[in-house]
Amino acid sequence: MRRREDEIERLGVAIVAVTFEARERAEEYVRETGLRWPLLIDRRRALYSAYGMGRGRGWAIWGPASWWVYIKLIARGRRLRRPTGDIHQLGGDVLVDPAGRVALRHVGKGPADRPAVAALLDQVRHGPRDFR
Amino acid sequence: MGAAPAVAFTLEDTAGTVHRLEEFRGRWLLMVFHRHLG
Repeated sequence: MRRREDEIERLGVAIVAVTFEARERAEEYVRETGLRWPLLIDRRRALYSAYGMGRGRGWAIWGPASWWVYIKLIARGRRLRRPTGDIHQLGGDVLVDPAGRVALRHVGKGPADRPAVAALLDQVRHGPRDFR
Repeated sequence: MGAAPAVAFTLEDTAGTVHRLEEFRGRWLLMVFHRHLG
């Protein structure tokens, strides 16, 4: 995922990460991963909710695609922890254009469901789309 | 039909800096919403 953001950042796109987890865990995450972008804390999940990121369930959370994501992280040397937050909370990506309009909104169905770099870059070069 | 305006926010980051949507006006902004930080 980080490689994806690096490529996007090279186009001059500002990046922020958002988490709903507690400050202590968020600070720990930044230390562990060396995250270079601001990690914003949205404890009430108001921004998640505003962009339609609710709670997922079933196969999207527990299915093989999710396990594959975690296996790849471990293979890259990432130490996984027992989750402290709500494992059903969905994430996603929102791309905002320079005029403050939503150019792309992608609500992930599970950990493996992220928009491709090409789709994000396409939005920077062209216009708005909505991914669900 | 135009795109929807982005949702305004005021959120603090892990360093204690407060960020608002307005500070990114004039730039593209990618917001990456994490699931749990496992």
